[in-house]
Amino acid sequence: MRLRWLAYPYVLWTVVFTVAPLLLVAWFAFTAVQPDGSSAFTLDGFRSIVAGDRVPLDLLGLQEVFGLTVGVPLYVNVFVKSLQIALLSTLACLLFGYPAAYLLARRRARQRGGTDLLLLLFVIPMWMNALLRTYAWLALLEPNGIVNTVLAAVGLPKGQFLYNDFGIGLGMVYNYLPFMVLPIYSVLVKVDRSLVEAAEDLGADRRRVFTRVVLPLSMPGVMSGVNMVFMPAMTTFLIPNLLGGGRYMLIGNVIERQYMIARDWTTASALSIVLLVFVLASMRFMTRYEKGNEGGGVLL
Amino acid sequence: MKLGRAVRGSYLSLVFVFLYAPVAVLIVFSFNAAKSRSVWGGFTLEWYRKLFSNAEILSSLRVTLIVALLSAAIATLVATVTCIGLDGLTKRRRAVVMNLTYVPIVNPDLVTGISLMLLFVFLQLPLGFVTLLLAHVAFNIPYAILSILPKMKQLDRHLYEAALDLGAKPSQAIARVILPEIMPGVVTAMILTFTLSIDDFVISYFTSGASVSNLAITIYSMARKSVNPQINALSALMFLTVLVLLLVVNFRSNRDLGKTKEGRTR
Amino acid sequence: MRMPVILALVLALLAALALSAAACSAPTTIYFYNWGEYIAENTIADFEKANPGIKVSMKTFDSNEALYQTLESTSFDVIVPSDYMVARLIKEGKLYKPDMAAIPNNAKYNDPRLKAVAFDPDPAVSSQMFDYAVPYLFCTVGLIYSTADVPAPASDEPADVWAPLFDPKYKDRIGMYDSMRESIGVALNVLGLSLNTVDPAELAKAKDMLIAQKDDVRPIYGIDELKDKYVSGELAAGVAWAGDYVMCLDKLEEAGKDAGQLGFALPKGTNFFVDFLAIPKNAKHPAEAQVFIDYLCRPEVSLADSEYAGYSTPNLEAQKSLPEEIRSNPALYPDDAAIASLEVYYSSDEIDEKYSAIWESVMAH
Repeated sequence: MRLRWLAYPYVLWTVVFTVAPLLLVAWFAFTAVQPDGSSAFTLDGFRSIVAGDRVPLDLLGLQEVFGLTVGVPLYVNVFVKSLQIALLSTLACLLFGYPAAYLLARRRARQRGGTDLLLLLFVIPMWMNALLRTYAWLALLEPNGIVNTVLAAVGLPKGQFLYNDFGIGLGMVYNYLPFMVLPIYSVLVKVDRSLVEAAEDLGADRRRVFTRVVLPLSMPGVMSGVNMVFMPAMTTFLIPNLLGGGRYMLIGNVIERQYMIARDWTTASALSIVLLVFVLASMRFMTRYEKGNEGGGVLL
Repeated sequence: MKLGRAVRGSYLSLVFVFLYAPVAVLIVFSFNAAKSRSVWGGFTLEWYRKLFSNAEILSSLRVTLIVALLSAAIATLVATVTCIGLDGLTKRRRAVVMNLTYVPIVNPDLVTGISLMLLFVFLQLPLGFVTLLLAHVAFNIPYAILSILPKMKQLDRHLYEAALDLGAKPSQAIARVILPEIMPGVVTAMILTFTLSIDDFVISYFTSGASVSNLAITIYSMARKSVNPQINALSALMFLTVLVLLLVVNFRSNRDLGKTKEGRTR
Repeated sequence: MRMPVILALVLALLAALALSAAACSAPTTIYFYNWGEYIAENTIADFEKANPGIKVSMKTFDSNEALYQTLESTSFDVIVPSDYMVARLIKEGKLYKPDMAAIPNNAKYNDPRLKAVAFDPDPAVSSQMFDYAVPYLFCTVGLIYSTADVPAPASDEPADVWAPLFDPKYKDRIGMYDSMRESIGVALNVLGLSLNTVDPAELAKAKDMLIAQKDDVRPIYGIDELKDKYVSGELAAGVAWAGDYVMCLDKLEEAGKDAGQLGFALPKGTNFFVDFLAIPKNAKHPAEAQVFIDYLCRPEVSLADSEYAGYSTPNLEAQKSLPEEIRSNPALYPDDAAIASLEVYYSSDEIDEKYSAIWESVMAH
C-alpha cells in the first residue's frame, strides 16, 4: 500500500508529545536557573537526593523493634518507604486477589457462555472515579468514623486506621485489587480443562494439580498483575494525599510538592528520573518471566 | 465438599463486601440530613438539590464531557489514519513507531503528567483548556492505536489494491473498503479513550492549570476541604450511571464492551 | 449498525455542548482566584445580578506560594494575595496598578490605620501597597484548642500558648497548617525569634523543633480540612488563623454543639496579616476586575463575606454591624497597641528559598 505517508503526522506528534517531554524532564534535572535568568548545567538535583538530612531508615516501624538505626539521606528514606509499601500492597493484592480470581474463573468454567454477573460486579467499582473510591474510606476509617463508632458501641477500643501505613496500604489494595484479579482471571479462564483432567487421571491430588499445573500456567497473569499493581502503587500521590493526613509522604508526594509548591524543578526532575528508571527497570525485570503472555496490559 | 463450597462462597462474599462497603456508605450518607460522616440525622434529598445548583461542579462536568468527547474523537481519528499508514512502513520503522507508542502506556501517570506540564511551560502555552485537551489526546492516541491495529492486521491488504484496480480513488478505497473492515476497532477505540479521559485525574492535575478544572480535579479539591455531603451525592449518581450503563451494554449486546476496558495503570 | 447511532449521539451531544457554550459566552467572564471558603455563598451571584455584563469564575488556592506559582502559567483578573505576597508581586512588577478612582468604596470605608503598617522592610515598597491593592479581610495567627482537653494557656507568652502543640500527650490530635510561613512561624515564635529571620542557626533550631514535633506528636497537616476535625473533636489543638476559629464556632452552632467547646489564644509577637484584592499584570479584563473589587468593598458585601469566612473586615462601616462579642474580641479586632506588638511576614527570594527547603524536608521526614 502506498499510504505510508498517513503515518507521518503521528510520528511528528510522538516526537513532540512523547519524546520531547521526557527529554525536558532530563533537561530540567541537569540544569538550574541562575540568578540572572539563564540556565546552567548542574548536578545539584541529584546531589540533593543523596545529600539531604540524614534520617534513620524507616522499615515499617520494625527498626524500633530491633533497635536498628541506619542513617540514610532523607529522600532515600522516602524512596525506601515507598518501595516497601508498594511491595507490601502488591503482595496483599496477590494474596487476596489470587483466590478471588481462581474462584471467579471456576464459576466461569462451570457456567460456559454468557457473561458472568459476578465478574461484572467485580469490575463496576473500577469504573468509578478512583478519587471517590478512596474518599469513601475516610468516612469509614477516620478517628470518629463509622468503624470506630461501631467499635466503641460494642465496647472495643478505638483504633487509629488512617494517616499511617495501614490506611495507605488499605487504600492501595482497595484501588488496585482489580488490576491483580483481572489478569490472573483472564489467564485462568483460558487454562485448558483437559490438562487438569489429565493430571487428575494420572493420580495427582488436588493440591498437586494446583501447584504443578494451574499455578505455573497462571504465572503470566500473576506477573502482569504484579506489574500493574506495583507501578501505580510506587508512584501514587493521590492515596497518601487523601488518606495520609498530610503527614504521610511517598516519593510521588515529594515529587508533586517539589513541582507544584516548592517549585524546585531541578530536584523534582532528578527525582522523577530516578523513579522512572527504577520503575522501568523493575518492569523489565518482571516481564523477563512473562513470556507467552501476548503483550500484557489487557485486563479482561 | 459442602464445607469447601461454603468457604469459597463466603470468601467471595467477603471480597465483595470489601469492594462495596465504601460505596454503600457513600450512597447511604448522601441521604443523610446531618453533615457528619458518622451520625445519622434523618433522610434528605438536599445534597442532590445543592449538587445540581453547584456551578463549580456543573461547569467541571461540562469540561470533563467536552474534553472526553473531543479527545476521544481526535485520538481515534489520528489513530485510524496512522494505523492505515503504518501498514505501509518498513518493518524496522514500524517497530520504532510502535515502541514510541508504548512509551506513554508504560510510563507512570505521574511522569507523563509532569513531562507534559514541562512541555507546555517550555512552549509557553498557558495552562488551561487547550493544554488539558492536548494532554488527553496525547495519552489517548496510543490506546486508540492499540485498539485499531489488530483489526488492521486482520485486513486483507489486497482488498485495497483490488479497489484501486477497479477504478476507485484512494480516498474512496479507504472509505469504502478499509474503514468498514476496521470499524469495530474504531468503535472500541472511541469508547476506551472516552472512558480513560473521563477517569483521568493525575495527568489533568498537572496540565490543566488553575483556570480550568475537570470533575476529578474539582472532586479532589472538594475532598480536601471540609466534609461536603455533595460529594456523596455525586458518588452515588456516578455509581448509578456506571451500573446502568454497564448492565445495559452487557445485556444489549453479546460482545461484552466491559471487556474492552484496558488497564491504564495510574 | 450500531456505529451510526453512536456517531449521531456523539454529534448531537457535541452540538448541544457547543450551543450551551455559545449561549453563555456573551458576558465578559472575569477569573477570580481566591482562598477556599473565603467569600459568602451569594456574593458572586448577587454581583452578577447587579452587573449583568460580567460573570465571575472563581477558583481556589490554599497557600500564597501556590498562588504565586499558578500566576506564572495562568491569567487571572482578581487575586487575593496576603500582604507579603503583594509586596513581592509589586517588587517583581507582576501587579496591574488599578485606577483607585474606579474603586471609590476602598477609600470611603476601609480602615486607614492599615496604611500605617510597614508590610515590607523597604519603605518604598511598603508605601506603594495601597496603590496596587485593596484590603479584603485581615486576621491573626493563634492557638485553637478544645476546652475539654486542653487547659487555657497560663499567659500570652508564646512558649505557654503554643505548648500543647509540642506535647506528646496530644499525639495524633494536633493540627498544623501545611503552609511554611505559619508552621515555621510557630516554632520561631516559641523560640522568641523573628518570624522573618534568615539566620541559618536560628532556622536550624526551628526546623529541629518541627521535626521533633512530627516524630513525637504526629500532627495532621492540612488547611481547610482541619476545621471539621476541630469541630468533631478529632483534634485537640492546633495553629489556626483567627478566622478559621470563628468559622469553627459557626460550624459548632450548625451541628447543635456548644460554642464553648473551642477556645482561641493569641500569643505575643505572632503574625498579623491582611489579605488584599489585586489585579495581576496579565489580567485580561482589568476594568471589570475593578468593578468587582469595588463591589466587594461595599459595607454590606464585606460584612457578609467577613461573617461567612470568619475573618475580620477592614471595612469600618461593616464593623459597626458586627455582633458585639466579635467586634470586642481582641484576637479578631486588635487595637493599635496589639497591632504594634504583632509581626507581619516579609517576603524575599532568600526567605522563600530557605523556608521552603526547611518545610519540604520537615514534610518528607
